[in-house]
Amino acid sequence: MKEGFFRPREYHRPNNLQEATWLLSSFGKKARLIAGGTDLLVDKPSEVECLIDVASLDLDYIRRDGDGITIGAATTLDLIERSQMFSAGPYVVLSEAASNMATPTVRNMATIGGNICNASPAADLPLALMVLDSTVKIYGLGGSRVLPIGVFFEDVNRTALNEDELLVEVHIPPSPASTGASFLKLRRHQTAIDLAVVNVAAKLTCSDNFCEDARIALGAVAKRPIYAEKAKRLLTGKGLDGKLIQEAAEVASQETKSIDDVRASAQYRRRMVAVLVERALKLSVTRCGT
Amino acid sequence: MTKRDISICVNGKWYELAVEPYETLLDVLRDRLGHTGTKSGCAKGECGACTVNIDGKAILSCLTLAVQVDGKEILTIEGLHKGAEPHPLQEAFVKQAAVQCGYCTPGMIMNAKALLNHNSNPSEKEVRKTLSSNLCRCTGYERPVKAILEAATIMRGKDER
Amino acid sequence: MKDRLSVVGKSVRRIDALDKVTGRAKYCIDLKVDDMLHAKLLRSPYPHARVTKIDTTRAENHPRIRAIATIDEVPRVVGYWWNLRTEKAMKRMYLQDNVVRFRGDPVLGVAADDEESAQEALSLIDVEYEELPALFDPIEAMKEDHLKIHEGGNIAIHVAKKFGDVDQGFKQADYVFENRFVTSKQKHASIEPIGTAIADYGRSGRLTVYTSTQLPHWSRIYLAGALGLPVNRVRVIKPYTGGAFGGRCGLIHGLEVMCCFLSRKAGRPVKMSFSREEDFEATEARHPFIIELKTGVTKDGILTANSIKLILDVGGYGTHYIGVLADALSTGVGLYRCPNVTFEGYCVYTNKSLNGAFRGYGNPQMNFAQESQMDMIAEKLAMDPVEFRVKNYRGLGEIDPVFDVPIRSDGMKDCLAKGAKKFGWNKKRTRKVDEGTKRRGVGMSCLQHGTGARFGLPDPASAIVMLNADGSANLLTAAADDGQGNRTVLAQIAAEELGIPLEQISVSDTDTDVAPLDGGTHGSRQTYCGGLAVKRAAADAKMALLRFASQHLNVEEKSLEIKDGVVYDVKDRSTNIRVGDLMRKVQIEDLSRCEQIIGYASGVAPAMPPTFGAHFAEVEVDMETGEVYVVKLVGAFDVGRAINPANVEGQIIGGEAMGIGYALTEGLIIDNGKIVNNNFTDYRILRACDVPQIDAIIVESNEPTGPFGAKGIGEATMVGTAAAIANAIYDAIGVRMKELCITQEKILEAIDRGARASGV
Repeated sequence: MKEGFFRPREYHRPNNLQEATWLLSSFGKKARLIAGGTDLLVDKPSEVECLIDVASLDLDYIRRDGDGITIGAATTLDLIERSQMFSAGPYVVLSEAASNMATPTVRNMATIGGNICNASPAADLPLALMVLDSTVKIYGLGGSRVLPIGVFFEDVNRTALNEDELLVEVHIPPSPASTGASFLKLRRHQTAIDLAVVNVAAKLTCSDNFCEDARIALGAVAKRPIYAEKAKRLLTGKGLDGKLIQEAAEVASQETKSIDDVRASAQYRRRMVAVLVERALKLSVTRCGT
Repeated sequence: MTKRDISICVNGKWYELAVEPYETLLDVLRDRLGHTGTKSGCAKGECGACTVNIDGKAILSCLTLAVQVDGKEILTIEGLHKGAEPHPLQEAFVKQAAVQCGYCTPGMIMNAKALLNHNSNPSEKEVRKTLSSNLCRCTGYERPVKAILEAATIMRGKDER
Repeated sequence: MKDRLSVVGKSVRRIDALDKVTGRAKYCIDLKVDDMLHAKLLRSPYPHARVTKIDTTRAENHPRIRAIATIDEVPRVVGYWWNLRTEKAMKRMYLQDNVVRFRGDPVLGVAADDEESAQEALSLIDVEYEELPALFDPIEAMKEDHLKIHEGGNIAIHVAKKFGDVDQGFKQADYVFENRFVTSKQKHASIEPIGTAIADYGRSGRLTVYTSTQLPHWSRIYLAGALGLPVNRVRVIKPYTGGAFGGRCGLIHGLEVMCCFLSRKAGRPVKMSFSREEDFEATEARHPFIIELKTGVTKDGILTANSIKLILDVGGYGTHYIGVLADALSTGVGLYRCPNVTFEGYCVYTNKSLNGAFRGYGNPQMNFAQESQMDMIAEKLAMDPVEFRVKNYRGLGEIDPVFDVPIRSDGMKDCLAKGAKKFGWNKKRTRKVDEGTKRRGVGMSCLQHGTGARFGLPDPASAIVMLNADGSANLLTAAADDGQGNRTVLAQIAAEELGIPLEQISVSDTDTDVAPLDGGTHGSRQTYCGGLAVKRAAADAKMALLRFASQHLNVEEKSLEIKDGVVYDVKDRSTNIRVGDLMRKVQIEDLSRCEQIIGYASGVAPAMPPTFGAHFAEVEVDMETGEVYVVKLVGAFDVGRAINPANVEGQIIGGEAMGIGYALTEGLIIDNGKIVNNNFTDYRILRACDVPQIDAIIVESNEPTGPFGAKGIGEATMVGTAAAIANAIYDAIGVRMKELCITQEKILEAIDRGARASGV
């Protein structure tokens, strides 16, 4: 192997999950799955020796049944953006997140599985999936297991996947009636395509402005996407008004651990979390009726 | 194992190639096949200069490995015109003065081609959204957007006839 | 005259567009030369260090490595064509030592059979550095006596100029405005990365260099000097170029000269291409300025004194700084009538990537400060900013104080009036559309930008027009077309002057072996300077042609005209002959003649006419996030005459878009000498969905010295955009933004400041 170069020697197209997981386990850290390539081929990590293409695993699907919606890990973002399944109810939060990601051409290529497994702290899609209480199905040598997406992310670019495991699909459970959700993303100004300075997803279940349940997920303000748990607790079981929403937004911003980077300072991010959470909650309230 | 045999169809012609797993489609098109109309602007999927069509979809060839497109049909800027006659998109770009330095142009045109494949009558907003995948430093995008809208009109007219 | 023109003034198709849209156009990055090697640079990991030892033994044993050239043998070119005037000055422009002055400064180059081997070789070379303390802040660097980035000290140049008596001027003033402005380090970000060249040092001592340069002929002379070759033995060929904007206005640091040395050593052609990251980190950018501006004005809006202090951050090596400073001076002093001015400028070295030429040169920086200041003054005086400009700008017949020449064409009032009308200035100024957390604001600015570099720099232009046996013509010109379309414009001028159809003109490749001396594509000069040379050369050919026609038709020369490829007698149109028929006789049929008509012109343009312009911007600011979106822009420019209106509009809209970036999103961020936003994800240029409605207005004032009345346009288009946007932001939020680029965080801080100041 040549130092410093992306020079995988092997390329495999496993025909089933067993083959894939066997390859993953035998190459360990030197193996990488490839789907859209839009993260892997940007980073081009030099330690990779074996590429495992998920193309022939038939993981590109969006299915709905009584139990909710299931999305195959290799489903591309443009399909999620355009799917009828995410055009109404709280599920719009997912198409909103998808349509806010990267450029349209990248969205033709990038997959939901790749976006989740890349585990970027600023990723958009995970926030939408988090507020929808999604679970991820993981397949490995020991069979499959299911995890709530909230615990899947562990650190910057690190997930709960073991070396032999891959993400197979994402499942979104049905939401109760009168639930509304929204996704908001703050970018650097004058651009519609950018990584998030701060991104927020919110979901509220409420009737007559009484909040029965709430979810708030925050991006780009910690080493991984996080839930604003305190803010959620503050809202749940209360009648919603402007003051309470504002208070919850403030509380949410206190739950972050922002850093400075090229896009913004930590201080600005913290302040913007409050602005975005307030806006996302208000928008979600208006969507509860629909 | 290192090199893999693949066959790809570029602009209607099939090529049998042995490629390394890490070779990008962009490098294969440019360095091996001499199809330099597909440009490299950043090699990180940011600028869109390397856009080609695969299965009618716009794809970034810098973020696609050649091994991934084994057996696929690829359309590049060089395959768009019919004989001496330019494609309506190419004609519209010339007519509308949508070309300045021209380096981003092939990527823009290939992206527009994919858009028109599934949406023959896009709005200006839709064109702008699609074209957002392509960075251009010369034009401010005004005239490329016009050119694509004009090409769409001309292509619809041709289909009707 | 306008009605009589056949092809000038028409938006003809570009002569190269079909090649570009079909993917046939070859850019430097697309070229291959038989047997060529591939080179890579080893770049300094330190912002400031002395290279004490280079051990290449391990690399030399690599079977695919063909040549290595190190910092102690390859000179850097640190100057520009100003330096070519004397042998002594020229010598000063080659710097050869073992010090690296910014992170990414080349230490050595390696040529190998393939790019990968070259890259691999870099890890086999051991370099020892003695790290030196680094200076990043120009103010600190100015004060520093001991730590010198260059032998002569950290101040590359200090310029002071005085007009009138400023002390007296400030005494006469009713109000004095004093402000400090800071501008950012903008990158050209052409879509073809800067930094591809192929050098072929032939065995017979002929050097051929393919490079996307704006300056084929100056580059030829620079290279001859660097390699110790007579100029005739160097050939520079410029293929299609993927945008330049000043970024290719000279040899590229570490590129062409290195390729030449490696080629000479290896005895084979050598190609090198910088990556996008290398382009961002190690090629020239726009000079950041610190500007201290003090302006005195009377109650009735007459400027009495202006004191301008500039500090330019040059970076690790200086190329264009003198010119950039001079440009800031000429616009700072030239735009407005003000009898008493002092101007002081310092160009200071720092251990950061070098800065050079960039669309507008020093004008966008200076204009941002000046036009912000003018906005403040107009507000204080309760004058409409447009009226205030009309009252004070220096116009037709007035003398430019810097160059001491009269202004012969002036469309400023038209730019202001037409721009304001199209924008809806009066209505928008009074009508505020505030929704929720959003605040709207409008702002404007104006500018002038000289065409070419006639006063102060060598500024030649040349052209050869050769008529062929069928009446068609070949135009030989080295005027580099980086995408502006000047080859098309020059063809239009040749066709118009000769009276033949545009299709009958072929424009040569940009090749110093083929086309005569040209001062390069910079300073918005090719339509004007290049155009004048082409017009003169075409007129020269036409004169010879008419001489033959006169003999043939037996009609006096002065009553002959050529139109649509036919020479005819103006008194009797039935007396005529096709140019093709005439040329066949002259060139082939008449055995006693058999000569080709060749028209020729070379020299400088008579003037440096200012292009005038005005920008109008409307913005929407989110008071909670600080985000600003430009929702509408109008740019009106006086180009003398638009030879190709579509091209002019293309320049205006593209320049305005670049100007929005300069105002709001663009600026290299440097942390401890390292450029951290070295890619298009982190460095934001506008995308199609980001560009607002931009209206381009062309004003034609007919410059008497210009070809068919034309003057320049390219650079002017972005000169005042930032100020117009900053002024609009002020209108929206009530706080001045004095630092570029204006990020949303800075705006939010300003809103907070404003709120505190007003006690809210």
